[in-house]
Amino acid sequence: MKLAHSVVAAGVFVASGFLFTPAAAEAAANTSASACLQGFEGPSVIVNSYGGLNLRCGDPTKGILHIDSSHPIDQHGADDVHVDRCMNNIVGLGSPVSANPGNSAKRITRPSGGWAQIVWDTGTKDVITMYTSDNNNWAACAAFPN
Amino acid sequence: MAEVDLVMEFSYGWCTFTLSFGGQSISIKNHWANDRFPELLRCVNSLLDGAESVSCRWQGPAQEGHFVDLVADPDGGVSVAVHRFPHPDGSEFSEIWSAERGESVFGAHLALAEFTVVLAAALRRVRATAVDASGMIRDYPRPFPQSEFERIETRAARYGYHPKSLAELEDLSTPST
Repeated sequence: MKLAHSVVAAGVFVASGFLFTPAAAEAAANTSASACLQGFEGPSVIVNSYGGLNLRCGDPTKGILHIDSSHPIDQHGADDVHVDRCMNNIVGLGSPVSANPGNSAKRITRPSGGWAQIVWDTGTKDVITMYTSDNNNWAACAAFPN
Repeated sequence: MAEVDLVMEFSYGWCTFTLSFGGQSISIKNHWANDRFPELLRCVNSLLDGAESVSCRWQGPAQEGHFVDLVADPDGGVSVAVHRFPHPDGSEFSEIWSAERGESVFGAHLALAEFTVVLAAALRRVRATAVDASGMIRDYPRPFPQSEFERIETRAARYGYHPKSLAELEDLSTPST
């Protein structure tokens, strides 16, 4: 699926010379969290990009595979949209959290009191981990600020 | 005397340190993004060099974590205490890196010799089974603190410690016929 999209994007670029944008390239590289967990994608494939940060499939130490090890994500796709929107909400609306040198972090706190947090590598802009305070409540994080 | 057991396990970017003594047991997790594994070994070496008390933070990827405190006594014993961070939901440097202690979750007193021998054995197992040829810890992208480990193992040898071979650690020794 990803290869087919890339070919289409490249074709647009060749044919028009103008229509191939960085946003289109980013969309062409996207996959879903569940596809990562089912082993359909490599570690560098981007699941979601927002605010200059990239959430990749990753490996046992970062990205989706690392997040899932401690904060389970549904392997069959039920959390795919929630995970993406959760990241967008934290990055776009969150407040900075003090982090270890080399890392950065942000957090949103829901009116109900639960919170969600993201930690990324300041240099590479790759997401290391993301989690919620209330048992991996991806849906609530996605629905923020409701 | 109660039996002490120390286990270090590395998996999915976490170092889990399990301490068991006298019927109590606790597992605390350190995330590679805040790697404090070498710091723990430095703390133990400081104690073995004569320091009376040392403290090591053991932290998750952001604000949650534990303090490990070790106090040596003049009679050859060591007290071990583990406390939660005081501000598990903190977001400021002053909260996350606070020197205050939160809830006490583990306490033990044992012979420093016994503690050193058991820790050396736990570290030997990590070195033999969880470190790749380049010296990196598998599933934990940080180098194994080899020099600190060797200092602990050398000290433990004075207390009667005998390092196990890889075969012994993996229970691969040939059964006797």
